Amino acid sequence: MESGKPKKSYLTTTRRVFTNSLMGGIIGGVIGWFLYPIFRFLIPPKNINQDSNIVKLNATEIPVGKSKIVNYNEIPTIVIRTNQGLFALTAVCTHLGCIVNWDEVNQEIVCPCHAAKYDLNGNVLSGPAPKPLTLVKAKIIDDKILIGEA
Amino acid sequence: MATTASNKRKPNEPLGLKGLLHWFTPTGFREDVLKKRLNISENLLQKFKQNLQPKKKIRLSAYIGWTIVFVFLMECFTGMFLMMYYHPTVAEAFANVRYITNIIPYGWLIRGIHFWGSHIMITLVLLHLFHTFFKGAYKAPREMAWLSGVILLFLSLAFGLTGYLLPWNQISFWAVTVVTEVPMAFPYIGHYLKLIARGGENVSQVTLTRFFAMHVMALPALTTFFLVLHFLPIKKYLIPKDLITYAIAILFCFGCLISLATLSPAPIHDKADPFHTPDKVKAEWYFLACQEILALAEHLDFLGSWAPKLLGVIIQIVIIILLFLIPFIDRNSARNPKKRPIAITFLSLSYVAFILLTLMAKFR
Repeated sequence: MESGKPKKSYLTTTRRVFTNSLMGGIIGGVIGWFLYPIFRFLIPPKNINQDSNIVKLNATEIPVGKSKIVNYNEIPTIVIRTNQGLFALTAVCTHLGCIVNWDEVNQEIVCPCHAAKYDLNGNVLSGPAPKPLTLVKAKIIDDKILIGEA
Repeated sequence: MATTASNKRKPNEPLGLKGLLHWFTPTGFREDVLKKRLNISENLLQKFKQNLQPKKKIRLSAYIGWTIVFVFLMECFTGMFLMMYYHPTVAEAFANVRYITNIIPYGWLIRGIHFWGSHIMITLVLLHLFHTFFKGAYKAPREMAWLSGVILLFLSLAFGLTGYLLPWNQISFWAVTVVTEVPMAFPYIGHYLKLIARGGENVSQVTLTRFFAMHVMALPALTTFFLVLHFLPIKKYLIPKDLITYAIAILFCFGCLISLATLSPAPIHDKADPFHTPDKVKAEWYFLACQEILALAEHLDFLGSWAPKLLGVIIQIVIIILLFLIPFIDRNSARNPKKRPIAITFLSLSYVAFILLTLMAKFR
């Protein structure tokens, strides 16, 4: 800006600012209108077929005291059978996403990466995990273990 | 001399964050980005600015040509998104297309635009060809533009054919089976041509993978190459004379694409069944004329059992060769349609024949 000229102020060009803002808003809206479907397209929907979500296992596959990692809704899930009952929890450690293991001796769930420990209800016992593991519904009917069904 | 922030700075002086912010102002963008960094001359910027103003005279051919480029880019863009969910395997292809169309949010829109884009692209290419011929724009020194343009027409058709198989449905499977059976008309080499096209005796997983590779790799690369070759002889038209009208033409085309995708969604059909041929196998509309020539050639069976198929294919090859040679056959230097009655009659008859053959095949 050259010295001597009066300093340009947006207060003196209210109509221009208003028109520019209006045009900017309209153009922004149109761009958003184009981008929204693309954004939605990139995020795949969750599996909507509820029946297929139930994972069925033979009870003999998990003896008492043992555990197994199964794929439930595309999420690794740990199924643990103890004397206290059947437990199913998401197997993804809430710290950095490693898959947790069942420590049969100490009766706790342990993450092999940074030693985060959880109890059978998913609560954090020790270590760096910021949040508990999520419980998944599971039950035994006859000789079948059903994961994902109340 | 203006004392803007950009002019105070020495040429090689680091910008700093303040300088970067200056890029986002109209002056900064023009002086710092366009002129200094992208080396765009003041003359070109002025020309661009002048071309923004609407003109009285509209050059239709330029709009069709540029709209084809726009549709091609839209096809690349939507095709890229479709590839994110599509696996070219016999077991998954059909389910993937159904998943994209019915489950993925706006998948029907992206697929619809891709589907209708192919039809619009071929329609526009045929219109462009008609207009170029009508105006005599293929004449010297534009022979290369014509030759590359005809190659681009066949590349568009190849896009249509290879893309047609990808949904792996009954219609596409059998249409491709019929089309890839056509080379068998040639004695000796026919069988090898079929094997190259299909990757085996039958349309199978190998064919699907082959067509997918052609559709997403070879054809886009070839099209880009020939587009550049097409533009080189006419590079003075690269900036359309009337940008606003051009923008309106593109927006209109985009509107048509969205409307068609919404009002007439891309069909899914049934999954391909190699053991059951549907009643009437028909190719896409742009191949119907070729299909009808083959059907009409069946009447030549009095010449022998070899004649119908072979002559049907040879007639089409002759038409293709003639199309390429038009700038060299037509030695009349006049471009005005009124001074070229033979050429214009030939053009009109060709298009009437194309439309008639297409309609005959459609209602056969």
